[in-house]
Amino acid sequence: MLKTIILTDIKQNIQSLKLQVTFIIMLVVFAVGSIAYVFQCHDAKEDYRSYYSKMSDKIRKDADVNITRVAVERNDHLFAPLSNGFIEDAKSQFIPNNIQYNAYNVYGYSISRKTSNPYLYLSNELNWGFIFSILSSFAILLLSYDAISGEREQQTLKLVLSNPVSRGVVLFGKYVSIIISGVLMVLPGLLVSLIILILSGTLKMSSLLTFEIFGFTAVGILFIATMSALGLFCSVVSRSANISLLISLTLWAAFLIFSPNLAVFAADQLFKVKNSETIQNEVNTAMDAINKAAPEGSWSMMGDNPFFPKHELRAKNQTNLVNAEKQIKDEWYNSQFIQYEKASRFTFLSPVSIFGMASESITGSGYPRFHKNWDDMHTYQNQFLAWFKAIDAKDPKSPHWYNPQEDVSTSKQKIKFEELPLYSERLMTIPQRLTKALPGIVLLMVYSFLLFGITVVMFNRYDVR
Amino acid sequence: MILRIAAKELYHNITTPRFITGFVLCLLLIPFSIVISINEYRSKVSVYQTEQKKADEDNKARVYSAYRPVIVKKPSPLSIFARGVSYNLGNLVKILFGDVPMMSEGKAESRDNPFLNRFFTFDFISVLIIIISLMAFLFTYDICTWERETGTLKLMLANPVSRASVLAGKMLGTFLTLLPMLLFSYGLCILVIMFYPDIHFTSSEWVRVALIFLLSIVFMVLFMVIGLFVSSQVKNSGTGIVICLVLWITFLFIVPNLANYSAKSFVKVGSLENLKFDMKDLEVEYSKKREEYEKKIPQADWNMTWNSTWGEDGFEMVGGASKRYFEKLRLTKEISEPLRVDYADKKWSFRKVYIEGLEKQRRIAQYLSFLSPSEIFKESVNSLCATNAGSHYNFLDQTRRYREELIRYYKEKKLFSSYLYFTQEDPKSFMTADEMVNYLTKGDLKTYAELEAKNDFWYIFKYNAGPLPNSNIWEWKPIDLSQFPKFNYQPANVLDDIRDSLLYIGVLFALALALFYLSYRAFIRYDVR
Repeated sequence: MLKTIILTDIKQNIQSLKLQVTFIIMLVVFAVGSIAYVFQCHDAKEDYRSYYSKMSDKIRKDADVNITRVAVERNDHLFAPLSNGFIEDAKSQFIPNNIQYNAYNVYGYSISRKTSNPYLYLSNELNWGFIFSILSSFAILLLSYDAISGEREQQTLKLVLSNPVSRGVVLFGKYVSIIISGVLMVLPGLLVSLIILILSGTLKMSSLLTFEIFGFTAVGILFIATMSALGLFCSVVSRSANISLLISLTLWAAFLIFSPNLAVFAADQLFKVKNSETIQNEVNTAMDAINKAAPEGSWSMMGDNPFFPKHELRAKNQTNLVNAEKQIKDEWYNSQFIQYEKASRFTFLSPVSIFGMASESITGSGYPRFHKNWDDMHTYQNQFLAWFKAIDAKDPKSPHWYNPQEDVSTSKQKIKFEELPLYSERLMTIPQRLTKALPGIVLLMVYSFLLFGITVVMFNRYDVR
Repeated sequence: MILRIAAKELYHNITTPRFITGFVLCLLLIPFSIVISINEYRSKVSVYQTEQKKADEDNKARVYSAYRPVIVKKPSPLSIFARGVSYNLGNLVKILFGDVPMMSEGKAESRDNPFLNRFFTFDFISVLIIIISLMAFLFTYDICTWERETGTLKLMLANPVSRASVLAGKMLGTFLTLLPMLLFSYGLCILVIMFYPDIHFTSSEWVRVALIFLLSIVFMVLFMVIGLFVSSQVKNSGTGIVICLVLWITFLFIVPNLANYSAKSFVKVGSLENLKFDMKDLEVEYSKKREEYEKKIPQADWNMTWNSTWGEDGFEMVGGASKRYFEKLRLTKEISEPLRVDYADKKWSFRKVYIEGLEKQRRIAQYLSFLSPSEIFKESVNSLCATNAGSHYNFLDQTRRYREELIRYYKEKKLFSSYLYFTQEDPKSFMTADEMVNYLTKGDLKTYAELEAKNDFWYIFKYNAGPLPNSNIWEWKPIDLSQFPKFNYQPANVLDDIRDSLLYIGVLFALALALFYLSYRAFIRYDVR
């Protein structure tokens, strides 16, 4: 019986205008989005390659001067474009994607405006994430809002229930059929997109990418299930299909608009952090104090003689300055991370945002990617410094007074570029991604179960006349 | 008769739950988005104030080479209504002789915590567009069909009343239903703003707000007519609602994103990082030329300066040096500064290519987005709020013109070849190297040659005779800059903006009329059975 219900409903859905129209729109958006991505991806990779080679040239020049120069020059690590941008980009362009470092410290992060045009209005990328979270969620609600109330209005619900079948089974049948119709709606587009990407040579299959594609699709289907439960819920709340539609549209708009607004509002009001001016003032005050307390001669320098005795004072003073800044800034950076994480929890009211966060973790982009790089960079910086100190220790021509800012009183040896330990990004591993995505996945499941449970209870009391 | 039909329609609409839903949506979404916009605006204002204060301090100069005015753009309170691109862009332009301003900079271009950029908040106008267009569709998708479905359309048309007046009456009724919602939204918005006494609008800004309101009415009518058109083409309400909602999501969510994404992908813009590397090459070339020139001119006899400091863009401040040192510096600046301006033009030719690429991309994104009427409306509102790209170009153009004016002033007044370009000491009292040695050793040594023979630079300090007269650069007073050209930002006036948005209103209105006519034609032939 369950099978019959599911099959009839799917057939009905497929024949309905709403499914056909949204199906075509989604197919078009999938196709256009993928073609656009092919172009964009090519350019972005080219740009990054040329940027990277120029960056390497800079480091190579420093290496030709001496090893100290390599250690003290502040360099930028700009994140490379990911090969999975067609799945979900998690607004990577708008959050920090650049980390400044040298051997002594990781100084901070910034947003590189490399590829984004500031004169364009903010917009979403047309990737799978966008299509799932906005288009398919809308289509699913459109498909399911009248599942019960619509059938009641057409008087067919009575007939269905006159069969020897429990209400729970009927509802479950409808639920499954909506999910299947939803999946049928997006899968062809997904395949078209994959075919375009593979034929154009943009996509190079690897086990990680396979995981990303399947992982994203799985989370996407879970999201479809949640939205279907929501649609069903809307359809049993009211006896009239019109009201069901209104409720589901209101909820959809609220999820979409309310949740980002709420997050920013919460961050502003509840989890205030110091602003950058305050921090800059604090840093300046601390630095002034250090400079004032510095013994006389701390600023003396003699270019050609590393062993000039005042250089030791200079190195100490510079170290103090860097440490003071590091202490204040690192604390501030942490408070920013915490503010963001807490604020993003507010968006978990909305399944659309949960889905966004989960797929961001699955694809290893966005904030989780930044945070991993930030941690890795600290590890790398310590190794880099240890490496530099080891070489410096062997150099008899160096007084070993470590100055984090200037090439003054440490080894003047030349070094081959090939021997340098360079930072290279390690992508998040699959277990890491799954652990990060787990809370979102669990939440989506809880949402679906809860909504479906409530719907079952309400449907049992539903007046089918 | 039209009025009676309108009244009936109004009554019917008000009693449906969608009317309440509209108000609930407004109440739920509008105050919230306004509060967020206000917070954003206030934080931009506080950034502006700090930066302006710093700029006022920086704009005081002790020598001409230090005067590189910093211009800070004041955020417009209208950005509360429509954010536009104003928050993607910095608000600060530093006028340098070595660079033509390309883009504004400053920390106004991001939220203070950059990770919060992850959340795309919706401003008032976006929320309004979402609510009003949705409501307009929800009230019109069945405007022709529901009375046919309930069978009352036949009865109505049995009366001596033309179909045109039925249609007009229905539209009027729906218009009167939706108008309170629009008024309510604006009322809420202004009410929330009233709670913040630090935000006030000038009268010209109020005029703009009024215009935005009028524009919103046109926008609302347009979406009503689109709904009417759909309704007149379909046989039953179910189909009507599906088509309307699909149109809605296409206009509001697909077209804008599609337009931007396609423009970003298909129109190539060079990268800013690579541009920076090109700039660096030119800067190196410039320094080389300057150094070559410096070698050719008569050298200073003594390179000692009692006090000196230097910085970006040719800034140099020197106190207590020999006459020939000053002369050499003056000769250098006389050539190096105009050369710097020439190199700025060379750099500009690269930068221009870059920003023209950005503009081309933006223009294409805009044209594509005009496939959606809601985007036309949004663009016109942004233009009225002076938060669109055009208004920012206007600001940047003005800073560029101002820079040229300033350079012209420097050239006309021959400031590049004046001593005051780098020192406040009086040229008449410049000392030769011999005189300086004499002064610093209290007459012990007569000439510089004698000091040189000692082979000990620190020798002169043994007498504690310093500093040289008027050589302490930090005690110099700021110079009088009142005759210098000043930057005065001239925002586009309301009339100009109206002329711009008139085109948009015209397009929206024409679209509405055309669709209304088509719906009318369809309704005349409508099968009422």
